[in-house]
Formats: sequence, structure tokens, C-alpha cells
Amino acid sequence: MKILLVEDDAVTRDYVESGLIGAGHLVDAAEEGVDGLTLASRGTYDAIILDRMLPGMDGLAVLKAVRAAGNTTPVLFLTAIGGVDDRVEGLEAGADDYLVKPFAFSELAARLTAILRRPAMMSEQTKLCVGDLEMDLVRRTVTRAGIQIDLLPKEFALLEYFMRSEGRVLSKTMLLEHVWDFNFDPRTSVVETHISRLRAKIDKPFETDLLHTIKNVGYTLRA
Amino acid sequence: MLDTRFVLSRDLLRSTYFRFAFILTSLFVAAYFVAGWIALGAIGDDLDDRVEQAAILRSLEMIEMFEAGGREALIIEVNARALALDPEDDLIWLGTSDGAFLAGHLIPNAVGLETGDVSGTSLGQDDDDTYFLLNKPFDGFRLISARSYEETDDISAVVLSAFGGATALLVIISGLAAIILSRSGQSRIDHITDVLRKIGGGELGHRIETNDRRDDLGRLSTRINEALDQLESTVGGIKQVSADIAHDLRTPINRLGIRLERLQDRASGSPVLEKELEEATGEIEKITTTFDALLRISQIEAGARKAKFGAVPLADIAGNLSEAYEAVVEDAGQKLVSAVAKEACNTLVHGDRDLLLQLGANLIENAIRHAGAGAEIWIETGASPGTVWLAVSDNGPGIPPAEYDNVLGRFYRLDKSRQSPGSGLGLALVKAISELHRARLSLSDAKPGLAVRIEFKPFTQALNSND
Repeated sequence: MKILLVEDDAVTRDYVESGLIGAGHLVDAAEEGVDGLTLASRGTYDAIILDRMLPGMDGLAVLKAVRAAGNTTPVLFLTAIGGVDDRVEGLEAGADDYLVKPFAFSELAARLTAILRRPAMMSEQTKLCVGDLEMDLVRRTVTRAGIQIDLLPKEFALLEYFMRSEGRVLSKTMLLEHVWDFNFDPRTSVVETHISRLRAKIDKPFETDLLHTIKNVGYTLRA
Repeated sequence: MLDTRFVLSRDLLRSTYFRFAFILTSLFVAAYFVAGWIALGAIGDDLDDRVEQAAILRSLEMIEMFEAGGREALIIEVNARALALDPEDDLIWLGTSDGAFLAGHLIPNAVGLETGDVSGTSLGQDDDDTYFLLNKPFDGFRLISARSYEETDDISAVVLSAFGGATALLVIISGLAAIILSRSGQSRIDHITDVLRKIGGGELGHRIETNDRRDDLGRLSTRINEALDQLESTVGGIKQVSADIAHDLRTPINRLGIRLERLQDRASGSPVLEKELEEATGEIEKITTTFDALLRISQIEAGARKAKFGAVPLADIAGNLSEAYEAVVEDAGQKLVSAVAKEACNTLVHGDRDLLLQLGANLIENAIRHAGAGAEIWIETGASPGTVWLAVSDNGPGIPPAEYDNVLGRFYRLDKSRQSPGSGLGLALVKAISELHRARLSLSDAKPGLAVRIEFKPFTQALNSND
């Protein structure tokens, strides 16, 4: 993948850049908003990682200009402000996702993968399969190896999100936003508790585990 | 805003302008009335005097006639006068001193009548007007002259009706003037109130239209606008400063996190170092959590969040929360009971969904932390006339009522809860969110335990009050 990174802080830029290169991506990096905009309008990128606060033209203005030019490249917005409205402001301006500093590269990578594959999630499917785990979206039933598994509504929503994102790492924040509609960080183990209940139902009775914990990052479902 | 219809709204009747005009008009009408009453009395007295004087004058003329022309001339003159006078309200009678009738109108029992006011019936008249009667004996004659006050009464009636009409006109004109003047004043006051209400709601860009008027309201508006300019630039400054602080602090915290992550990669193989680094990373997380909560509270308090308001059913919020927390509560060895109003549409409030979720989450997490193992935690919603409420309560140890106000402050923690995790900002955030929604937050003793209740205005009412 070819990714454009616009970030003024050298340490963060090098960190993200080396992380992305390490993951096998091609990276163009820009320090200022204007340079970022020039690069974005010249090249074809698979994704843009854009910092909110930039010298000169700020990230929000760059994002609006990119979208105004009809460019639909997925944009991951980085913000150091992290205020209550910055998320909405960024999403309204056309960002596909946002990430508040400080962040770990793993979280950035998880979100980047998610926005790169977003269109696939829109497709209408009636059945999801991961290994021997099957989910019928119409009847709202789940079976593993042919055995029916009863799930509570939130457990179902959680598993559906995992199955739609098969093989991808989902961070705790992504799960909170997606499954519970929580745009804040609860100080209790809402995610952990539900993950362990889900495991008890879909993994424990069976030989192999499907739901894996990725330390310091999140969780992934894979066969 | 500039509505020219004559609508006597309750607000208009309550306005200072209208009251002022009303009092002034009332005083004016009262003064006019007193003056009129005095004038009418004076006119009446004067007219009465004229009636008496006319009777006296006539008697004197008759006496003069007698002295000049003798008995025959007197009789002729009295008869002539009697013909000329209107017998309805003016009578003349001439007789001998022993009462024998000589000339003029016929008056029964004329001799017995004394000088002074007499009724018409005693004069043989068919009306009950009051008459002034002069009984004048001279040279073996007796002359009775009686004149009705009817004319006085008629004139008084004319004056009175003219006066009444004038008063009615006065009341109508000054009443209309009061309404028009107070409406124009009131519409300007309404405009000022409207602008200040929007400012109170966090929309700091509004200003009062002064149209360059230099009267008292115009000057007041100009001063208010100047104060608002100052306020807006101060608030803008604070926002900029907190954005700058956020940026300037987060960037180094971010770098610190990056460096720690790199160190963690190098430290693999050394469990002691790995553990230390992991703890250091945990500390960074705590710093950002507290930092975020503080930033969030100050932004909510600045009213920056109002734009995201919409219709939110509290029952949905409670439903989401109980789904999210039921398992968490169970794992903490407690029990979550949810009693949510059946008709969700009855619990609509005007609010920010994200913030209301966070409010409820903070209350439940607070209960999980402080109620202790084995406790029951209730989340309830309901509606009663005029309020829609959300309540979270537990049957744990509760907190002393004297501490209710303190626990809503920032970083305040009861001594006994110092050991348990938490930033001391959870309830402060609940308070800020309640205030943003103009909801009433109350803490009470659930006997045993703590009950926190938040009362909102119902959706439609909240919209109408335009707050």
C-alpha cells in the first residue's frame, strides 16, 4: 500500500513512518499542511494519515481541500487536541477515522487496516463464516461445528464485528465505539468482560481458539 | 420580534413598561376625576345661588311695581309674569296676607309654605323636583315665588355626561398609548433577553441590535455588547489556551510513549525491565485519562457541546448501559437491576447522546467501585408530569449527606476511597453534563446506600423554553 503521512512532529513522524515501512507499506512523508496537500493532489495514495495541528495550513483545512477536490482516499485523522468535538469535526470534514494522541503504532495500524477495507463491510451478506464458526445474519443464529450457540444481543453484535473484520486486530477503543456506542473510555472492564463471556461460548467448548488477544493492542478473530 | 399586533400577552402585562404606563394613566385619571368633582360641585353651588337670586330679584321687582303703580299694577304684572313663566318649573303666586288668592299661578295651601327648599308635590306640581320657594309678605300682600332646581340638575347632567365621555376617551387613548409604548419597549427588552439566553447557551457570537439608538436601552445594549465582546475574546482565549496546552502536552507524552515502546522492544528478554516499562506505559495512560477528563469537563462547562443536542430517549440510554454493564457488575460480585420506563417515547429529553451515556456509565462505575461486593445496583428511568428522570442507586455503604456537595467537586475523594482506583473526576463530569442539560442533579440516602437522581425537562418543554 502507498500511504501519505502528514505530521510535523519529527519523533512521531519517524515512528509512524518506520512502523509503516516495517509493515511493508510505501510512505511519503510531509511536514507541513501545504506540502501534504500538494502530494495528496499529485499522487494516488491508498490512505492518508493526517495530523490535526500543522504549521501553516492545519489538518482540518487540508482534509476539507482534499475532499473538495473530489479525492475519496481514506483519511485517518490524528489529533492531539482530543477534545469532545474534535472527533465529530474531523469526521464531518470527511475523515474516515480518527486517533487521539498519544497512541500506539499497533492501534494506528489496526485503524488503518479497518479504513482500507471499509467498503467490503458495506456489502450485504446474510452469512458470515470464520473457520467452523458460522453466523446467520437473517435468523440471528450462531453455530460452531454445527452446534448452536446462544448469544446475548451485545455478544452477537460483538461477534458480528469480529467476523466482519476477520483476521484484523480490533482495539479496545474500536470495540467500544462500534459495539456499545461509547465514545469515551470507561474505567471498568466492559470490553474484557464481554470478550471473556464470548470466549466461554465460542472457544472454550471447542478444541481450537478463534478469538485471540494481541497484547497491548486488542483482539482478533481468525481460524 | 417586532410584532405590532395588540396582543395583551401575560409578559406584556408583567413588563415594567406596561406597569409604569398603567400607574401613570391611573394617577392621571384619578386626578382628573377629583378635579372634575370639585368643578362640578362649584358649578352646582353657583347655579343654585342663581336660582335663589332670581326668585329674590323677582320679589323685589314686584314690590317695586306695587310701590310705583299700586295694587292694580301689581296684579296685572303678576298675571303677566305667570303667563310668561313656564309653569312646569317656575311659579308665582300673589295673595292677601291672610291667604286669599289674587293673581298668578294656583298653589294649594300657599299660606302655609315657608321660605326654603320644598318639594314639587307640596306646590301641587306633578313632578318631585326640588324648588326654591320665597315667601315674601309686604303691605298686606303675600308674594310667593317658587323656582325649580331642575335647570341646575339638567346642566349638571350635561356637564357630567360630557365629563364622563372625556374620561372614557382619556382612558382609551392613554391605555392604547401605554400598550404601544410598552410594546415597543418590551420588544427591545425581549430582544435583549433572547440574545442573553443564547449567550447563556454557549452561542457567544450573538449581539444586541442597537440601531444606533442613544436612549437608556440603547446605551445599555451597547454596554452589554461591549461586555459580550470581552467575554467572547476571553472564552476564545481560554479555548485556544486549552487547545495549545493539549497539543503541547500530548505531543511530548506521545513521544514518551513511543520511546517506551522502543525500549520495550529492546528489553525483551529482561523480565524486570519489561515489567517496569509496562508500568511506565500504564502511568502514561493514567495521565492521559485524567487529562482528557479535565479537558472534557472544561469544554462541557464552556457549553461547547450544545450543538450536538437532539431528541434522546433516556430509556434507551439506560437500556444500553445495563446491557454494557450487567456482566461487568456480575463479575464484581454485584447485581445490576434495571427498571426502565416501558414507553421509551415518554422519556425523551433534549440532549447529547454521547454525554448522557457517559453520565450513566460514570454513575454505574462509581457504584461498582464504592458499593462493595454483594451490593445491588439499580438503574431506573421514568417520567412524571414536568420531569423525565434517570437514577442510579446502590445499597452499599453510601456517603454522609454532609459530603454530597464535596463529592461533586473535582479531585475530591472521600478518605476511605483513596485506596480504590479512580481519578476523582467521575462525579464532577456527571455534574458538568447535568448542568449542560439544565437537569437537576440530586444525591440522597437510599437507606442504605447512595441514590443519584437526574431530573430533565421533557423534550418538548425543553425545546419550547429555548434554553
